[in-house]
Amino acid sequence: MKEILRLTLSIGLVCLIGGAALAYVNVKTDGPRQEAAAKTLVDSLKLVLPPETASTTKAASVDGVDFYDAQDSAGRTIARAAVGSSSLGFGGEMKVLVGLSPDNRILGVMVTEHNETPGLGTKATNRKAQKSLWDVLAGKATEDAFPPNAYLDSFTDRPATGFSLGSDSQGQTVQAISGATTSCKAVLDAVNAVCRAVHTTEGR
Amino acid sequence: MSYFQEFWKGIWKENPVLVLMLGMCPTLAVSSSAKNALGMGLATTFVLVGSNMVISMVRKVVPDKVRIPCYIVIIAVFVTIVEMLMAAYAPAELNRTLGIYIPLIVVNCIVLGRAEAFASKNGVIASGLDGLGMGFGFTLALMALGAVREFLAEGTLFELQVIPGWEPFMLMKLPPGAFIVLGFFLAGMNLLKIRQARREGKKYTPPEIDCSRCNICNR
Repeated sequence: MKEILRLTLSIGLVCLIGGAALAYVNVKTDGPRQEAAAKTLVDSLKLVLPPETASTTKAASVDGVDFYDAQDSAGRTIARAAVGSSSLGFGGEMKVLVGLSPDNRILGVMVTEHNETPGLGTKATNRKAQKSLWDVLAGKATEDAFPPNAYLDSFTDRPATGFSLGSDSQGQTVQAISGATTSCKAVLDAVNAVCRAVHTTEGR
Repeated sequence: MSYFQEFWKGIWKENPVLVLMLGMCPTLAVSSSAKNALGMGLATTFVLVGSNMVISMVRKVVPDKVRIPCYIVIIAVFVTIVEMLMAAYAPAELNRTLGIYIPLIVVNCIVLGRAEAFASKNGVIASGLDGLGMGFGFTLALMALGAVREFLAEGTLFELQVIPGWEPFMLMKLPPGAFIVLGFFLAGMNLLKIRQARREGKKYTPPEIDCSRCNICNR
């Protein structure tokens, strides 16, 4: 009996001290963590919004799609961005950020969260500039915050009324990348979710 | 053993990945690029040093019968602290890539292995240095694997192109590539040791990983 009490007490004490330490770090890092998360979101929003954007505010969500309004320095709303998601990705959930002009044309598309296969599916999701080691060493490298991606850029400047895969001229189509068809379909699905939400907001 | 030797053994003689064969799961998962490997290695090093030192401090207080649960709690506390610190201060991209691997450090066998085999028998400073050496050894092995895999797959190092126009060899970036490259690394390690033994005129014997190195069962 005494033995059990001693074991229980010692493990309880370890848990208590550990819990207290965690609570302390949690309180201390709570502010910075929220700032970091907010900064990550704002940084990616700025990439799909016009360069004049000075601030962004969260707008209402429609059908599970979050909208963000972009204001210029005079406070006028000049564009908006939407986060669409799809569960059709090769690795499941995928989140896509879409910038929209006031007349609902697509300004830019970028994938913020995905789980696609490196080198295959990521061809459809990653905007990655290839910098050369030798250029960096020579000091010639330039920073490109929004590198091109042929598939994601094929949505740009087209009205957000829904897209489909294919090469025929019927309706709005985008061309999938071979070897990354599933990932392309997931991006398309997420963009179409945004298009449907845009349609719903216009209908109101 | 001197303090320096406690530190150094983790990097070469008892390298956790290449000699002790501990922590294979994160090794295979996170060595797909040199950058990921570096981040994971440093996070693991922090947990190892912290947990080793605390476990060494409480080694005489905690009763033997419940020592493993106590160690796990201490390790889990350090991992959660690392997770929170990374969410707050690490670059967003690193945080996103490593996010899913950080909780896995709790069950990384290197951390519990060193707690059991070293920290529970040695002093605080020696345990801290052991953790530091093992952590750096893990980081270096992971980075070497990651660099080779990244280079073979995409012709890049730390995401910077080394050879323009490299034909992508994506197998190396996927899990099978990890097994293949690790196999060559271990073969190379054995070759070095066999040569060294021959130079010294001795017969090569594989590293002794026997009961004298571990006390999980014989208390």
